[in-house]
Amino acid sequence: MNPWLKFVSKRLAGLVVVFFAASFLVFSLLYLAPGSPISFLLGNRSGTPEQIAAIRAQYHLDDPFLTRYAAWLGGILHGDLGQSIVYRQDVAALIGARIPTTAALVGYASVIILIVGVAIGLLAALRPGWVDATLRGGMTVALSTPPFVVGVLLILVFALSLGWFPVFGAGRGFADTVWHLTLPALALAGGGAAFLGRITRAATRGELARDHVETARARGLGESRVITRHVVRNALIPVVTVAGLTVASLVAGAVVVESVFAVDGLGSLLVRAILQRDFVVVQALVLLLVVTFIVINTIVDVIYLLVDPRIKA
Amino acid sequence: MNDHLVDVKGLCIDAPVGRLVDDVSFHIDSGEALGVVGESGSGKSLTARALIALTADGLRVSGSVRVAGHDVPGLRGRALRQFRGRSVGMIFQDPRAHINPVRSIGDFLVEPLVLERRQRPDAARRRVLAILDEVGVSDGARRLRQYPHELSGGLLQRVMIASVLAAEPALILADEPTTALDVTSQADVMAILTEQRRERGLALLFITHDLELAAATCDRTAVMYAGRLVETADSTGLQERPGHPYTSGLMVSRPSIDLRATRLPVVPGRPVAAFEAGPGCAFAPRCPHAQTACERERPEARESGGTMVACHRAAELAGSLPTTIEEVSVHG
Amino acid sequence: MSVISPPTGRLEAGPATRRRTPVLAVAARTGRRLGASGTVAAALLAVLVLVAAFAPVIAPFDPTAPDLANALTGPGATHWLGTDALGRDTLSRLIVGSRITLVGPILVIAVSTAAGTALALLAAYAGGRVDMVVSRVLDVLFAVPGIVFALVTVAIAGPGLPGVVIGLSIAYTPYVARVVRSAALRERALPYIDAAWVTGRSGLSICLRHLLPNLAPMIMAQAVSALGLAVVDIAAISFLGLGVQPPATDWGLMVKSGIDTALRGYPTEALAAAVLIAAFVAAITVVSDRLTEQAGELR
Repeated sequence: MNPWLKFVSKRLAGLVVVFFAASFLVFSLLYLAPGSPISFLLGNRSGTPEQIAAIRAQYHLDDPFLTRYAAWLGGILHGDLGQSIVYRQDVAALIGARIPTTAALVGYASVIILIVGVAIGLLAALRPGWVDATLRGGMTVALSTPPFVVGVLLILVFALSLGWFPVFGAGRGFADTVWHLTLPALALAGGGAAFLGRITRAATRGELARDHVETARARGLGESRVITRHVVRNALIPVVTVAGLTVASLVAGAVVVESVFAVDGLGSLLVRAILQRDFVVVQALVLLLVVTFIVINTIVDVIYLLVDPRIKA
Repeated sequence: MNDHLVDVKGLCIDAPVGRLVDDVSFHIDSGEALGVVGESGSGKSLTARALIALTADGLRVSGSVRVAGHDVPGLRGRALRQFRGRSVGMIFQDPRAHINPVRSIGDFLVEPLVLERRQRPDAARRRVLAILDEVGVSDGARRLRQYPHELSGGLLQRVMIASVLAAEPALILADEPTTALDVTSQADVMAILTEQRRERGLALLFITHDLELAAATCDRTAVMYAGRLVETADSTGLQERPGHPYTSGLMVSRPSIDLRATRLPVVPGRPVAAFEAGPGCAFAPRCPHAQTACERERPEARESGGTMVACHRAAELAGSLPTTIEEVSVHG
Repeated sequence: MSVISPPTGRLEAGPATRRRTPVLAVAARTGRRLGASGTVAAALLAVLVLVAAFAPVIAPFDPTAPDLANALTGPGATHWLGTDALGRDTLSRLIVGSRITLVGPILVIAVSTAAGTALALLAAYAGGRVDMVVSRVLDVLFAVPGIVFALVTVAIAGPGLPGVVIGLSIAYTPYVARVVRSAALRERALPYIDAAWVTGRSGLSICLRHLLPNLAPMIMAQAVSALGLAVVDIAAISFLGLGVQPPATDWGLMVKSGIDTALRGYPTEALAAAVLIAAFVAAITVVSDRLTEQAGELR
């Protein structure tokens, strides 16, 4: 069989296994959660036995565990994520409406991480001395500051004091969205950019010391060509992997950052759903986050294969 | 005087810890091959790198190094790149480490021709294919598409030789080009290097720790010890009549196929770096012929009839130094 | 006839260098290992631990007592960092909040390091089917990002520190286990383990007496670096309102409540809590970097 086909099909099979395992984990954990949604639905009223029975029947609360898991999973595979108890709405619709916002935020942050991270990493590696020392200090600070802290500091400085950016919300239309999402994306990207910068610096330093770089110099290649064609090209291999993993972790980071900036995306929906014990929404969202995470990871593996000719499929 | 292709006078290389190469002078004429023999740490690789200005940043190079009419230590920027790309080619010890592992063989070979010499890619490719064929790499078109990890060490070193030949330099520097290879490909690679060099009339500086190999492939052989040249002579003359006790020690400590020795004679003690040597002859502490003067005063390099020896007792010892184990056994 | 004299004997360490008290000697040795930035960072962490330990004594005011007459003031002589909307002293709340900020992450790291190391040693030593099962389970856990896992356990257990600590402990275990497992496999391949095996030691004894001590520096470095992540994750969950519940507080929660006071013109609380979290994590990062370098050199 074509080694590529074999590799991809193997990864896809693994993906399916992890999907089922993760979905079972998520469903059973939340099944165990104490406190039923009935009390929430009834509010402060103590419902009649008939009302309670009706609700239990409507949400299939009396079916056995495996039946409910199978029904839930079957629904998901048909695109039916169930009904939100709090919003009395299709979960699919609730989630669908918020995907563009979160995708825009994560995409924006990814672009910042890739450009800024690689740039400062290269700069630090190729300019030893004070440039390197300063950038390394900056990277340690950025790496140590949690996204929500960065977010709060950005709000205090750029939104409240200077008034350059809006404090809350996601905006409408492209330019307005970019304007609204700039501070959240910066908060989300800070740590990742610093991390990628560190990896880029280390990889570039390591590559600069390799023997084949001496060969390139001995053959009369110009220093800029030696750097771009041999040092940077080779250093990018580990950088690509780390960049992919960093981007995958943004999916989780967005949960926090959206709440800081009151951006109405998947993350703030998840936090609200947990506080309101809206488990159908929690289940669907957690599963979506996990699937996104592993899909990005799989894509990273494939890209890795493409950039490093030494790895056989 | 000044028409040698390579003319090195009083070359010194200093590291922060001390001197590594100490007052080395030699010359190579066009088309001539000079072997430089020494133990690891004797400064032979550094000397070769000084000829192409590839010494590490922390090292200070002094003395005069002239190669093909260029004052090498003074070369900068574009002039240095052109000098490296056109006048000199360097073959390194370990081709697997010295060829970029993530670029194809074709990329590696064609790169300087297209980028620095502005040749057209297809012309460069054709030229490289012809040279691959000449150095005994069969199926060149397929090789160009392959990556270094898909080739054996011997093949990769031939690719390295091809890359140097493609640049058409006047001088090749070969830094232990066969040490990292397995025994069977060592002879092949050496034969190809020698044959191509002779055919094209290129000069060669051949760095090795194998005195016999140097003498067999080079016109003249130089012996280095502790960053200094101790002897330079015609290869045949050197083998028949070593002028320096160290040279003789190297020859004697080599196993012989004709004699069953119970124990090989070794040069006693360990080699030192130039900065570890005392005020006298660096080899004195290990030399069986050392006298008081040897430990106090540094011997000057004395030249006679194209042979240079740096030894206080060279005149006395001339002709009496052993060249094989048999002689040592006979002498006691 | 003069012969060059052989090199004289090595300079012997004079008795004066040995006369330092043990505590100072240990401090000096640690300082050399950590370097300048590492020493500053370690000192910062030490101060933090002391503050947390003696928080009730140090805090100038009762951190939970409302004082509506002095609500929402900026920094001043009495309240150095001002007060919040209920008139509670910000400095006192930061001091007392340091306790949970410190204890939560340490719990998470202790549990996940112990569990991860045990699993890793089991998998590496037993090999075969055990290794495969452990590795597969870890793979599935890997698919869930740490903070998402903690959110799930919070959803089950309800908002509060216990749910967060349980969730993060489970979520961090596979990371520890993967690193320790590969190091243990490398270590196991070394000849001295075979030698111990040949002398008739039991598997458990080899794990505890040989593998574990040799992996300890690496596990330690890994734990310190994960501690930084745990601080960030717990603070973030508290910030979301899903971690520490009022009236108790930690720095993450104070950043959240600080936003409200900042919107009303008093940014001190949010700023101070934010800077403290960043400094805390930065100190951990610096120390962990030095430890990782050390562990690398040891191998």
